[in-house]
Amino acid sequence: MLNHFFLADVSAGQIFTGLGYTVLMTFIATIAAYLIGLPLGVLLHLTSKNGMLENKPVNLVLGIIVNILRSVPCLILVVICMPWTRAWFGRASGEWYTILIPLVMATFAFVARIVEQSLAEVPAGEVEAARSLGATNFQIIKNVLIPESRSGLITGFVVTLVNVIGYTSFAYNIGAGGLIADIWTFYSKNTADFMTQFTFWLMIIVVVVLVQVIQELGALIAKSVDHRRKFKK
Amino acid sequence: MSTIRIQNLSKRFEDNHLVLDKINLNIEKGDVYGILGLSGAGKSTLVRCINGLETFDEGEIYFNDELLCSSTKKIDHSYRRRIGMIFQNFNLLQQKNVLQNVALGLKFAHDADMIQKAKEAIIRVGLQDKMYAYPSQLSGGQQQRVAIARTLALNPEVILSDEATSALDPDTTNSILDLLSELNKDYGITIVMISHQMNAIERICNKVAIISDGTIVEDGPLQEVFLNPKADVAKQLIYSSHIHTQMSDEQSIRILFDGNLDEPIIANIVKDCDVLVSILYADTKIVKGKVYGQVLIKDPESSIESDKVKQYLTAKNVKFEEVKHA
Repeated sequence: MLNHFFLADVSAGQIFTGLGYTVLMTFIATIAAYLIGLPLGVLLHLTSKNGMLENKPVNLVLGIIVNILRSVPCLILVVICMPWTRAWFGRASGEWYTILIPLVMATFAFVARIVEQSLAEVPAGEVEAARSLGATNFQIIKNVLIPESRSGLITGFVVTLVNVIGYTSFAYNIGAGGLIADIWTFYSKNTADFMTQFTFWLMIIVVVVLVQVIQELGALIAKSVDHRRKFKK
Repeated sequence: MSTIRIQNLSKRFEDNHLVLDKINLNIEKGDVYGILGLSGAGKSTLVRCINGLETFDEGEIYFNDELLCSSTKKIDHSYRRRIGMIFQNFNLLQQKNVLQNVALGLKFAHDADMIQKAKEAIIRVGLQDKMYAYPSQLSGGQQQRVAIARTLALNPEVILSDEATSALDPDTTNSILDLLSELNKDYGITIVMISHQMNAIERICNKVAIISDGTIVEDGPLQEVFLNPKADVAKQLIYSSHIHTQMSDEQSIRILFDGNLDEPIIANIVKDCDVLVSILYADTKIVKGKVYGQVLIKDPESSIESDKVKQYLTAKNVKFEEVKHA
């Protein structure tokens, strides 16, 4: 029996439960971050120099907001967001969903930058061709910018997911759970001999496998939707 | 009635450099109008002004005698569909297949028949086998055909061609030019074609304007301009593409065939003047039974012989000029 190797406070079932919460909070927070970050990234791109709606002041203000948010440490955001979490969910800690708002706050600015970068890779000529075919700005965003950069957008989504998995470690600080918080808990209870504990390494391996699977699956999808010239053979 | 009339158009770049200086151009319905110039002459900027990809500082552009755009009036989206454009780098959407690319303009126009119309346009340019291929799977010539089909699907009155054949090899260039020429003849589509390749313009255009440093230095019917260019830049463009020699200081005589010359003139020079001439270059073609083009002969070294030939040509009423190659 596998459980034989485990300390009393961590079972295989608990690892899977932790994994489930990690996946849940990661995906929900990332998707929510995209709901804000994607339009923001599009706006950053459009208002940039030589963009379709070039606007220096707007671009500058958005850029500063994004940079500030990106430079605030996640743990600080967790604390800052507590009143909002309480207002929204009725409690500020102790449940998996109480980490969601800080995760979104810590991520959407990053998403905006990543989206902006992907859109910048669409050749200006393609946008011009669409304009010459009578496209409105919205049609260009919908039919050219986003579909043409989809491969980069998917890669960016994967990078964001992996980032958010890392951020879920702060769930430990507000007791929101998840596998990475569980690793912290395990460590704090076994500071003397955690390095020699099978459980500790098993939990780490599960996180590594999770990241690998997300990364590889994402790369596979990004590649399969990309019809640009492939130089490799 | 002119299809496109450009009136006093001027444009400055941000660094205050005057790219276009009071351009006036009159393009009539059914014209295949070539705009020839060296790189940096402003020809690309000019053609991009016509469909509003560039703004300008002064002047107006009229489309079918209606104001299309000016320094203060922006072009309306719907006009862009009537004035198609093809580009040097084709600018196809890489993540869309041929059919989706060709249907794009129709999709923007919310056309219910877009698939049908797109398919017809693809068939017209001869790519029915490539309907579902992606641009990365096509050759340059095929990609330009898709780009042509993309504008053709919108049933345009004008196609602007921005160096559309400059990235293609000579055979492909000719096939693309011939396709444009067919569309001009079959559907009466007016074509405005900018190029730095004399041969491309010569192949299909009926009129040409030569642009240099932001001004039009010469314009008119193709034969007139090409047979007897007056401006220095025009001469440079027209001769350099034909004569690639190291004739450093050599003097030569250029004989023009303007359709009125009806005798074996070179043979006659030899026979009547008793001077042996060597032909350096010849490019003539027969249009409707008349000979057009030019022959470049080496100016005989002895001035007596040289004068003899020139007098003979003058007497025969043959157009010619002396050319010195730098």
